[in-house]
Amino acid sequence: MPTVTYFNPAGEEHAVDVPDGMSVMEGAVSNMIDGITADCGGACACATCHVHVDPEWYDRVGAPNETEADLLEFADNVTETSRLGCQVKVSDELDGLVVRIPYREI
Amino acid sequence: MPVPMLNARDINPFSNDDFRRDPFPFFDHALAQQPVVRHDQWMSNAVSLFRYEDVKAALKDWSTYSSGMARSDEDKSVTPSKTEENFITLDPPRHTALRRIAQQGFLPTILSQFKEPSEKLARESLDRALEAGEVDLVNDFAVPITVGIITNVLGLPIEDLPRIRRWALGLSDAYMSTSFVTDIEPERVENVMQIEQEMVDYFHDYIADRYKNPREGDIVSALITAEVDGEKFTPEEVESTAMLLLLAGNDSTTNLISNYIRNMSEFPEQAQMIRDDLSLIPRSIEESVRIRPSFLALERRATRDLELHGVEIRENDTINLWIAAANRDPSIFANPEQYDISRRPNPHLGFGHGVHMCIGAPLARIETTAMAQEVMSRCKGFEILSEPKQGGTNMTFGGISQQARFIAA
Repeated sequence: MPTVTYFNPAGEEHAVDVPDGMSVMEGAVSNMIDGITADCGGACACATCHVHVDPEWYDRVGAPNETEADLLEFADNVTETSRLGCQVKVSDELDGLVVRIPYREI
Repeated sequence: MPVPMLNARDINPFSNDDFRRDPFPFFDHALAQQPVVRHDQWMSNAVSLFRYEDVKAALKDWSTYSSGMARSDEDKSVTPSKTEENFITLDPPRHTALRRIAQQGFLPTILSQFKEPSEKLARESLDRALEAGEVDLVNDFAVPITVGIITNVLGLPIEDLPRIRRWALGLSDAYMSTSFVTDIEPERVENVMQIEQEMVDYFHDYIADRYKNPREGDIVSALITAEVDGEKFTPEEVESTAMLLLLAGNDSTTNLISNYIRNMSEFPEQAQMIRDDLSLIPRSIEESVRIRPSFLALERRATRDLELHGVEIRENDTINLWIAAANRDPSIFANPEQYDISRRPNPHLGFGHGVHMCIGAPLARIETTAMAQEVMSRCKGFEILSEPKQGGTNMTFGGISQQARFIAA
């Protein structure tokens, strides 16, 4: 099963197994990792699963689609490797993926 | 066109009159001229916000606009405590912990198992509607889909479906029985209370049994076993949450489905565009939720005194956040009264916003997509044949009964 390493907004590291086909958001929520609330439940409608993909992984993860890019415009602390966790599907290809969860005003 | 109106305070939005059949002239006036209204003459300590930015900011700011006890004392005395304490009526940090547990049952990969049952229920509902010719859009068409799914989601025994459906019908008269309109007949209140008690007893026994005989794979199991920082739901919280899901998952999605058909009937040229390209269905659902959300308003309680647009808001005031008005705010949505599937983005507040944003929205979208696929590929039109009968609450929007005809393609 692929492993994803999350750094929560406090900078703490959590390496967890995320089943193939689950999203980065689901991996965080089901492992109770702080900072990803996923208010909209994964519908690409709220930007509360915003993560910074580690630059080394960004090419493999890929760029956001149009709807996601629209939402990211309104998110806090956006960087060049920002993605919404609900839109990134974990697969064997992404085994070892590293993401950082930015601090967000609630 | 906004009707001429001297003062929005003179309109009673808590009344069971024509207001809820067409609240939009009132909203248009408020959006343009009175963005904050005190309703002191109709209900003590009640304030309304209408504009998109105000409603959205309030939904986000849970420390000023609390979800705790967003009701008057009189309402509280008639509300059974079992349906009171849950993640809808709490603020962070307790809310965060409970919602994180409940969210385990609402992850997209878990919800995907309800796609097929939704499609089957939608197909059967439409089969019946086409055969019958004329049906009750709410009770004959939408309710069998939504109650069928929520029964599935909670893992309730299929033989209990008739009584669950009876409760759903009875309770749709008043959303969680907390927000009756001010002029509702006492018998209707009595009826809702009776049904609610029956349901409370049922769930008490059902959840106790689920603790004794654990199962896997449904949301009740997820609620029983999930842990956050070593903390679990108490059996009372599981009961309360399960009932909440039955109620919230019933009325809201029922309105979502019936409102979708109303929109398709009112905007046939848009319906034709969807029929010609079924990939537009997801967007057509968002636009439907924008123009006719399942709830007119969400309630909060002010935690401090403040002033907004020159109007005084006092601590403990009940704040009505009119999402149905915000969704037609012309500063955000051009031609807001027009159903328009080309809106992108469509940042409507129909599922709420912020930490309390509808946890069941992904499931509602699955059910509504299944329904829309079915009706848009098999029907060439929809006729609404009667005025909607309104329920006994000012919060839900859609009507609890309305005759309609589905026309086969």
